[in-house]
Amino acid sequence: MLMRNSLIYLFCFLSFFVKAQSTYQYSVAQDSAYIRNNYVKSEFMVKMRDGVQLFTQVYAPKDKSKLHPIIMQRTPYSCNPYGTDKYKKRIGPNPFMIRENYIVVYQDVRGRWASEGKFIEMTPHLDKKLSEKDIDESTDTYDTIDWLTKNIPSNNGKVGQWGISYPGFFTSAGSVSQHPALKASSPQAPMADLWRDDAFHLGAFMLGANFGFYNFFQAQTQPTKNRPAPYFSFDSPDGYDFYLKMGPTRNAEDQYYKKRNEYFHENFDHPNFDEHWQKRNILPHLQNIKHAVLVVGGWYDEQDLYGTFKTYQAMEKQSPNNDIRFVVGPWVHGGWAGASGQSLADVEFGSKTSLYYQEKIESPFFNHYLIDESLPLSLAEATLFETGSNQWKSFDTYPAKNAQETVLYLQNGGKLGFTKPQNENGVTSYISDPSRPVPFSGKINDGFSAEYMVEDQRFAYQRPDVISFETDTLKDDLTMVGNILANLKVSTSGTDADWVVKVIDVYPNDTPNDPAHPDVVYGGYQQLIRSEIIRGKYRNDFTKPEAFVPGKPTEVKLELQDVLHTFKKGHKIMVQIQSSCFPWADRNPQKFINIFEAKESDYQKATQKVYHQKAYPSFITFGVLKN
Amino acid sequence: MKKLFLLLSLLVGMTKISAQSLSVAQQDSAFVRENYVKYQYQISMRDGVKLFTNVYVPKDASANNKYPIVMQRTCYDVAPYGKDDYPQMLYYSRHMMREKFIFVEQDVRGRWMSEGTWTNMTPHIANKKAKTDVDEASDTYDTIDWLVKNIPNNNGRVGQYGISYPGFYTIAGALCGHPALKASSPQAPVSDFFFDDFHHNGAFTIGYGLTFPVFGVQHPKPTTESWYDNLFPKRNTQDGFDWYRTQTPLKNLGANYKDNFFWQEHVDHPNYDEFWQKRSIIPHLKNIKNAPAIMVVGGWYDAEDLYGPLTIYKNVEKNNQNIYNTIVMGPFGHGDWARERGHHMHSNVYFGDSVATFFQRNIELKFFKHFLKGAGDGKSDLPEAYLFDTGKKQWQEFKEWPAKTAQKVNFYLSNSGKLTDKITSDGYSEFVSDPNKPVPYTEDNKQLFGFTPRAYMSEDQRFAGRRTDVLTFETDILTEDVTLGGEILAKLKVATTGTDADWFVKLVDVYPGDEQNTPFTPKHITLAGYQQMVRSEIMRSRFRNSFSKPEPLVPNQITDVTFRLQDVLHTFKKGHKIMIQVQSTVFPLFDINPQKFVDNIYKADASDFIKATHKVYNSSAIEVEILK
Repeated sequence: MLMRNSLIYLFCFLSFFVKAQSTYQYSVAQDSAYIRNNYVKSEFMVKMRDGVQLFTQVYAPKDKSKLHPIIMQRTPYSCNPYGTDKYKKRIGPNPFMIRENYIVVYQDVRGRWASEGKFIEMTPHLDKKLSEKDIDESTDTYDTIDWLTKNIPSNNGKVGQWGISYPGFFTSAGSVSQHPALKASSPQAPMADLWRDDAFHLGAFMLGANFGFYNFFQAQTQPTKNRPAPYFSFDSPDGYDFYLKMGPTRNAEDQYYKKRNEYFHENFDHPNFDEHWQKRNILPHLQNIKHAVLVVGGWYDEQDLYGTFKTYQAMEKQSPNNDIRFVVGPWVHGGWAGASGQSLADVEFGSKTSLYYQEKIESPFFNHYLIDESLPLSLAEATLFETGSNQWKSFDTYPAKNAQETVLYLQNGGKLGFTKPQNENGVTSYISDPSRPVPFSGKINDGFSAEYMVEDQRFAYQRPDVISFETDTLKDDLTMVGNILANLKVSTSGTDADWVVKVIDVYPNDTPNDPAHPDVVYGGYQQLIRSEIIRGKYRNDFTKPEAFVPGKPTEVKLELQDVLHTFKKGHKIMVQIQSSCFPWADRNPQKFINIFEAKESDYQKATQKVYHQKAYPSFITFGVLKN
Repeated sequence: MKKLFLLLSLLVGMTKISAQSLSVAQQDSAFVRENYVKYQYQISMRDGVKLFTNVYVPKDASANNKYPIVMQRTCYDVAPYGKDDYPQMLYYSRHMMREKFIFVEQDVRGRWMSEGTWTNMTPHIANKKAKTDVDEASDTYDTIDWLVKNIPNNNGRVGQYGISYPGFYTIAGALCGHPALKASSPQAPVSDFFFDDFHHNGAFTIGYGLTFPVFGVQHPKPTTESWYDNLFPKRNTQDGFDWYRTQTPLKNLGANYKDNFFWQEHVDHPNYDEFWQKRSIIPHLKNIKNAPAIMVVGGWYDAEDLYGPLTIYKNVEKNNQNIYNTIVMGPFGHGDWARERGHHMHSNVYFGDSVATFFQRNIELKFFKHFLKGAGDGKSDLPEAYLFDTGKKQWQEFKEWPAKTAQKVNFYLSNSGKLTDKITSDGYSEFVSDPNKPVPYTEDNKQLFGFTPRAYMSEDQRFAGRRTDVLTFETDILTEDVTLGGEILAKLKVATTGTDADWFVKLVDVYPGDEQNTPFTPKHITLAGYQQMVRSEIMRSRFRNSFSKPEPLVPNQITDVTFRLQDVLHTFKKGHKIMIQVQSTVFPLFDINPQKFVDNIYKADASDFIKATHKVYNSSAIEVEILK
């Protein structure tokens, strides 16, 4: 989603030069000087079919000896700096492309910053457009591309587009514009379904991600180039403490936002996956794409993991004879645009994966389709970084064809095994206390971090309100590929409960330490591989919540997003289950109620049970890559 | 290569070594060689047993330039043993070394190059009747007597010092009654293994689980080679927490120590019986004959011996007339006043610069100089108690300790989560204690790989307070500084569904939400909202009425459990909060209570360990002393 603010994007670009052991040879200063010397910046108001004008910046190469392709980003986060005398320090998808002399275009989307019109979140796509008034992001993209190709001198008639996060959504939406000049699109960590990814995960509200964001992302009544003033001062290095003290989720509105932000309040008005969210889901509309697309994302994307995999899969499935490709690396949200990509927190990947992607994948992709098709492009259908073994792998199809469906069952004694439990009464119970929720991270942070996605889970393992099941030591490498389906049989003493499932790689006890990480003990490290939460009342229908019957064993199924990870010989696979993950998700009062209306007194302890017996087996299903 | 160069230059005497060109360590080493001569002796004790003794005498000692003797007796070896091998430094403080004394180092009875039989915490024999009645006091007497009579050019005055176990030998030696002993500085002294080191209030310090080979095996004969190096338990994992889980029940740990007499003594004496009682030096600290001047030294964050220095100082003070008895407590972990590290940290907390040097130069050196070289009349220019306020981060001088002007205040543990000044109701706070999910005592996995616990005493307690099995109680944000200075008494009123339970009470300083990191705060630490441990202690309920006669708890019956936490001098600053945390397990610092009363926890089976629900009533109070 929500690139928290455009500063993060800028940082990724700038950090590029700070960590200067790269194979990229120019500093930010050198690139900035090149751009100033070789480009001219212009600004336009481009009229859309319904008369609304969108603020558009064009960095055009001075060189007129050749025709140049156009590459564009449409963003809700501002194309600052404004003014034809103020230049961005770097332009385009990555610095390797700066000297290829693209015409680089930035545009404020409808209703944002210097553009006219009204912004609504995740503009619903209109399958049928009956008049000039029927607009959406695909029509705005069409109209923009049309204007650019007709009005920007020396363009070669080919247009590409790219964007990360919300700009990724605008790229996805733009990719179905069907403009003939659009030749290459790269939606990256694209937002796709706000209810399912950024705002909620299977009904659980993403408190840490949303609370701070909307303080700055505010509605506009007219175009502006100025940052809005935040509603309140939010400076909280200890997010767990801050959000716990906030109390019931409603206090985010009652005490902080006070309904001043319509976008934030939409979450409160629409806790279920109702029509409001359904029409904002772009996935069903990603059809019949005829140009080249490169969908890009990171295994450790803390914001749009779902959007990444589902965008690729929707486009692939819904576009016959397509030229749609997929790249996933060991990256956080936007990490491929950064300086190195060699590690994340305690985990090392063995090479500068981000630089590799920029130079060997992204640049050749755009150059091939936008400059000259004789430029070599050798890129498989899916290029995925296999974590655990730390190597890039190419696939002809994704999901992988040579994946064998495998099931691991929760068993008695905290074990995880390939055989279905035969016992009559296997169950593990724990008490979930909303006044002491399980932290989503063992570190002190502001409640919103990407590093949690690879973090050592021993801090959770040691808690009485987290239960764990692990395999024996693996005798061979096991490579897990694709999504993971969790099927739990549970009961609660309350009438609603959250269920968090975590899949974990347990390192061997004698794993040596690493001088590059002097504070870390790697022996027995429990690295998080993938996790997901479901607000139990949505287990049968996202549109219609259903209470639990206290004490009654109930099936709860949830999908964890894709992985490509090798659990090495000597490691173990572990599943942990818990009923809170704070403040990543807000707390469940554990009483069937509209949680946005719940009061302090509604939050109650509950005894949770997870069954691992013949009548009620709990298990995870996933693909194992065969050679 | 460097050693050869130094040796050559000494022999030839022609090359002047420029101080600027050598590191500090090299300078110290050069100083020792240039200024001292080494002698070695086997000194006979009154029962014939000979104790190995290294003596380093200043080269310029003469009839006109006599030196006092400063001695350390230790169970930890007095290497280097070669007669021409000199240590890098004499004493741990180069200020003491450069002041120059006759330095003596002795292996105690039964250790390393000394003869005799070794036992832990040698029982002190108050009334010696025969030459075979020996203890550390008599060994010290015999040694001092021999030294003053046999070491040429000594000025007849002897001082003794030692850190940790050598601190025990120092206070034990202070009882020797020899008139030549003029100054003793027991530092982080062991005093009683049932209340310090291996146990706290009867709970076994499982965090010492690796140390038994050092203490529980006799050396085969006098030797310079370690006889226990291959006896340490094999840890097949780097995950310390997990390893200690495998050593529970304690029988499992014991499987590593089948031939270790010290381990067997633990198993055979789970209660504070005569075996442990006679090994406590505390009852003997009265009416000391020919008492030397005593300066007890300790660290507020000493994870091994905090009870020792405070209890020794207070008992000496209470039970002796006209004695020079003083105490120094700094912001140090165990023995950390011996190492100058520049920016002084304990765990992640910064306490200022050169704190160890301040102690070594301005306090310790002053003490020994006054009593061994100077007037020795007690006008040492040092206060009765020289204590570091760990909140204000500065030294403070006291005329007595505890301070008579301190005001006792009760903080009641209200189930509202607040510390109140009155009992709010007959309500209680409740939690489930599960021996299979013990509360960790640290979130720093690296600490769990150490030999003994160390840094946890200033660690951020947020990881604990976020658990369902840790209770937290805090004040409102303080509107002014509040200085806790003195003793702390936990007066818990509790009930449990089990028949035994441990209670671990923690006093915590909660930093404001806008606290900034210092330049020395490790990068992965956030001081905003940091919950700094100030003091903590465990109490095993079975010993609540008597440490020698344990008593089970009656399930669900409200019971008094009262115990001391060690002293503090800590200012909680305006903007901070005072917090108390209460939990039942603290692993792997202390062993896990089965929570079912068994006669001997060292013999408990895994099936004896049961979950229990604990209640802490609002009438529970932590009594502290507040200084104005």
